[in-house]
Amino acid sequence: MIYLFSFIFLGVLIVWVYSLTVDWTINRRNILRRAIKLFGYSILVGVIALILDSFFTRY
Amino acid sequence: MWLSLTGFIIPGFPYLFCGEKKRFLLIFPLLYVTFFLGLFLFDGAVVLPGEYQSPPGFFNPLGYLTFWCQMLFGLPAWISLFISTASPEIEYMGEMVHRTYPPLFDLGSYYLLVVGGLNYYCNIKIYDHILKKVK
Repeated sequence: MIYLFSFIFLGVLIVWVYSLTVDWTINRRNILRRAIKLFGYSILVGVIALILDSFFTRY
Repeated sequence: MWLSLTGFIIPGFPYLFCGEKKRFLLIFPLLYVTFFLGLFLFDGAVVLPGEYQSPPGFFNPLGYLTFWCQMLFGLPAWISLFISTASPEIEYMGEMVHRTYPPLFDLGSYYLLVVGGLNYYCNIKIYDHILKKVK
């Protein structure tokens, strides 16, 4: 599980840093809007990863 | 260009130098927190490619790739490499033994790898988007 969360964290980090380097005005509203969107996507990816994990992982 | 290259020595600083203070304040802590998290999981040091688990005499291309990508984080990575190569042996129960790594060392290696790559990306991006605009 720690690997799954770590990979999601690293994925979110990559997307967030990429997003910060692109041209857009940095203000509180924009940051909040993008952060909420990214948080939603990361939750979605986490749920999909857990479902796939339960189907394909054999211990 | 030289300003962009300083990011390979002190990661995140080109944003501060070229007046992008808000971007600097958002990117700088992220990079360093991830780097130190990686160091914590990796027992506090970046290691040479030969240290990765592989049979003696076996050329491990992924080990080299990981190592060079980690080195892109600049001065902090070089310092931690210096520390790990300066003290490859640790004292354990009164005897000097070769440094061993914690169970999550591979995860730490991923953290360091990603943060090195991100630093490279940030430096290239600052050259492309900000410094070219100034010209």
